[in-house]
Amino acid sequence: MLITFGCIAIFFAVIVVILQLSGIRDRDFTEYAVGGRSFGPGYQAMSFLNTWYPGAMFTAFGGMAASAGVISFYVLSYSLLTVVLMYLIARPVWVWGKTFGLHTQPDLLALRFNSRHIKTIAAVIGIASGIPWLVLGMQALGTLFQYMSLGALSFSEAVIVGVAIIALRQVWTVRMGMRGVVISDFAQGIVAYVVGVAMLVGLIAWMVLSQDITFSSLDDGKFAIPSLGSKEGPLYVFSLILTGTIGGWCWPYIFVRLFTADGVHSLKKSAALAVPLSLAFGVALLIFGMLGAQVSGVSAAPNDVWFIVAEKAGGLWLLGLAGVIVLAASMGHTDGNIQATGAQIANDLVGNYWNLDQRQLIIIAKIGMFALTILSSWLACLNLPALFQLAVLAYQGIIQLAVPQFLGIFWKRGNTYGAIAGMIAGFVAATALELIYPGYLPWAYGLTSGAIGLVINLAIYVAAAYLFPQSQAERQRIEGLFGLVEQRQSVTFAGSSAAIQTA
Amino acid sequence: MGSFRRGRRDAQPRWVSAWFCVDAVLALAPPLYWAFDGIKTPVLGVPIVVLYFIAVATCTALSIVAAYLSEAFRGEID
Repeated sequence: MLITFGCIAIFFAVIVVILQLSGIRDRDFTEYAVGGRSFGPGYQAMSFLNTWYPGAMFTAFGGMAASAGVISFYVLSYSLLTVVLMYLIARPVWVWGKTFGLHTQPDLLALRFNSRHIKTIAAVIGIASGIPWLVLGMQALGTLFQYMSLGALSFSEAVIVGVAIIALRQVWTVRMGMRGVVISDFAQGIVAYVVGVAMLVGLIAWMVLSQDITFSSLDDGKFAIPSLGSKEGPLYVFSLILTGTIGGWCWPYIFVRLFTADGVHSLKKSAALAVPLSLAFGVALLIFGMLGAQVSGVSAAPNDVWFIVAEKAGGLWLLGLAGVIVLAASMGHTDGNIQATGAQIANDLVGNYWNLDQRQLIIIAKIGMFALTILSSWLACLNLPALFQLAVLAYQGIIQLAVPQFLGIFWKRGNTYGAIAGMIAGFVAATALELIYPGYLPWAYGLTSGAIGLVINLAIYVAAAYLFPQSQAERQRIEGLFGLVEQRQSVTFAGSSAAIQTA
Repeated sequence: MGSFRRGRRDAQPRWVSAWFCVDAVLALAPPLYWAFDGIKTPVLGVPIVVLYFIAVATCTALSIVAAYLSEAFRGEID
């Protein structure tokens, strides 16, 4: 136990030292919420990965590969397709963000649809949907610390230890805001995905060369993809990949990455830097999971495949390293979630209705982050049987932000009525269907509730765009917004933004 | 806010847009993944159905790298 907890303690100390050395520069809310839009491609790439792939990748998706087989590869497909989407939205989102001083995803929706109510609705959906995932992430640390304790801690005791450590880590998130998140993401990302890939490749080699484990000894069911005649339905995988791809950018803590870069070039270069690592990590993890299913003890506890195989292959030192890697990935996701939520509470809820100065915004964001840490830590220590279902429900709901978000970016038509009505109708339909048909809809060929919600949402958005045409002034304002993105010549942002905002 | 120099419009070259579309079709088109359902014939020890997913992911990753390199080479990203 000394070895495993020693590895965790050293890693934690290194992250704290890095954060302490990097300094605190929350001079204004832009610095606190989006790190002063100052990060280059390396930081951006690692920050995206560290937020995108939580520690649960090693347990939930490693476990899915071990128990269900090749269908788990859908996560790889959508994780890379979502970067294509990032590449496409990078310019408009960053340009509008820089020009108008946007700090959050609801800020962008408010700008595009000229409505502060949409800002509140998007923030409430984003915050409420994020909490179950934050709590699940904290609870997942229970598995990690139970293994690190070599079984000395019960699962509930291990959850408490995990929650205490991740809550302690939030001291620096609250103090340093986005700058602390991105800087620590870089270090945590190197451990989680660079060292993680090296360890995954080593463990795969150990299984193949030393244990004679190959794909050929897996049963046929592990190679099935739900298709015609399947229980789930032929469109199940399509639905998972589609909603995963577009849903990724609906999470506030993912979306805000587009505002932290120092330019469009950095965003696009970060995409090019992130995808090879994302590809290597995803392929290695899922192949590891499939092969790991044949290691003794894994079939009874597939979600523990990462820890079981690491301990068998390399003893306590490798188990300690496995724990550090999962903790590094978990920290990035949790920090990002809490930071983005705190910024939204200040910027999109309180600041949307009261005139707050920079200092007040920062204080409210810090209070919000502190309160969220306490709330989620408390919830994580409770036995909440419906939590996972609530999290799935939240996912089907939050992806309804996709319609106004992406159509708002790429299509000049569309108005606040369609955006709000579509989002609400899609959210209600998705949650109702998910409650009645959890997982997938058998009568819709396996489409998920979120996909059906998106269809309804889209239909309302497009119908409203034609039924309630924009006024002349609004059309000019929208033309101005799109013109900012498209025009080639130099512009003076102060003048342009003033003209567009007052149109 | 002060003066800010906007870069040139970065409309994607057609081949980049086409490659992105191919990515989406390869990953999402149901008939494609149905065709690989359950095919475990190994190629270099890896079942074809696993290779299908790896190939789709590799194609997607390459398209993003190629798009960036193309734009950077043409100096079209600010």
